[in-house]
Amino acid sequence: MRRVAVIGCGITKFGRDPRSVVDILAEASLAALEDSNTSNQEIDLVYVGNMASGEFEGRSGIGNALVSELALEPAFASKIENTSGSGGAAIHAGWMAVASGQCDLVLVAGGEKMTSVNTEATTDIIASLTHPEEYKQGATLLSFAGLQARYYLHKYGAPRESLAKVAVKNHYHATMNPKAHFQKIISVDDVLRSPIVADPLRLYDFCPISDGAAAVILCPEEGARKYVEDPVVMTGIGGATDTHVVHEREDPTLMKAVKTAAQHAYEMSHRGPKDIDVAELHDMSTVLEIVQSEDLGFFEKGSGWKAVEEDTTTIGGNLPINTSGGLKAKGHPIGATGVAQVIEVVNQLRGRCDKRQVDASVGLTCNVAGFGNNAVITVLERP
Amino acid sequence: MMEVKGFKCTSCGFATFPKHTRCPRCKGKDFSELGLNEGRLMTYTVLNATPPGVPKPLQLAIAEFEGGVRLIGQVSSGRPEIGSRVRLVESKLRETPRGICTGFSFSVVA
Repeated sequence: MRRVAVIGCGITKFGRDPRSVVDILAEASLAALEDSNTSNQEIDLVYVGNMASGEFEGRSGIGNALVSELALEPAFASKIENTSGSGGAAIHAGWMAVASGQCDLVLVAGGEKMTSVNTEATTDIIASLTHPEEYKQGATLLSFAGLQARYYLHKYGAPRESLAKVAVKNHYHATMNPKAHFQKIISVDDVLRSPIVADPLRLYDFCPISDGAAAVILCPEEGARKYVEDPVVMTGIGGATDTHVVHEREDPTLMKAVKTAAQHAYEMSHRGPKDIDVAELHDMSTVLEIVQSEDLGFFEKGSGWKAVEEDTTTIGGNLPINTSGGLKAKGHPIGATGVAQVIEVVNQLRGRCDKRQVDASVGLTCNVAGFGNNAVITVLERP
Repeated sequence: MMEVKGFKCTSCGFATFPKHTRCPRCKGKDFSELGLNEGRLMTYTVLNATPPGVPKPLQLAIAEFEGGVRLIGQVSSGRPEIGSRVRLVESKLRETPRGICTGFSFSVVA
């Protein structure tokens, strides 16, 4: 198996974008091709992570459309759908293609155009990933987060403010990321006074609805320096699933898919949670960042909230989490997220993060599909 | 009052709702029915942002029933608290383009 390098990144400004998903993907992909000096090379394969281009915009075959926009024919192309983990799943598939020796240059792009429909319709499109018995009751991803948050606060005696602190931290980080959807500092009071969405969670406990795309170029580590001076190596990757039906899980605060995928990624990279210097987690809601920080082994179960209160996970702390602003403040154009997370960690390792730059040589990304139905974890390192 | 059927694996005894093609614990394919009537509420939320066809606010909860079977359901009467006893009742759940959808909901036992 070959080791895989990330040699180029491109990302659009997340937020409301008037363009169609294919045009947004094309901007990010072209930037990644140029960043990796592969604009004039033959790309073997294009994977596009996207959840619902059909439902949002009535578009299908967007992998092929992207290839044609960028004149990448005859590269084979395919869309990869894994709900909110579509970007991570596309990274996983692209990694496999290079690691196996089948492909030498792969473009992995992720993107979503969400603002073409209203909030109610968006929530319902995303809720289509639930089990029909859950859907029938009116369950949505927001409601699963509310159910998990109440259980977590009750079980571990965590203060409500600790969840709000995740939002405050990620908004602060986003003010240093020009690509982030939000560029506004908020306070714990702002979160606690925002409208209730899924009690005990409020509007500012959730990520916004955003359009955006992100793209990376993958190649074998050997030969990566032909293209760039500062490749980053994906030393570990893991994907895993948990039950589809959320209420069947033994412990509502444990995300088994995250735990299992992380074990695989740690084993492959010969790294452990203590080696990680910077991480991007899937904070669709504030409570999820805390739960994942525990299931990844950064903090003991039930104590992740303390790390947030002690600023351990803020830029300047021992383990900065979501330096990009996270899904919460950078935005969560569904299919883009898993790729955007990899880009943030790659940029941190390449020293390209300006005001939000941290000192890091090993980073981790955690992209979650559904409400923990599936997870993809990567470990990235400077060679 | 309404009885909901859980599905108990005839090989290992593990029970779930909804039914799966194979038992999540032992991969068995045969199930017997298990009557679910009364449970205890584990966690709940009150939603102000509901999907189309669902009135707001919506109280939604996870509760554990006979045989350890858990259900997610709307709380149609009473004020939910962690640990509350709940019974299953039949309710109108949501309106869909294909008509009104009915099923079980939780009623908090005072």
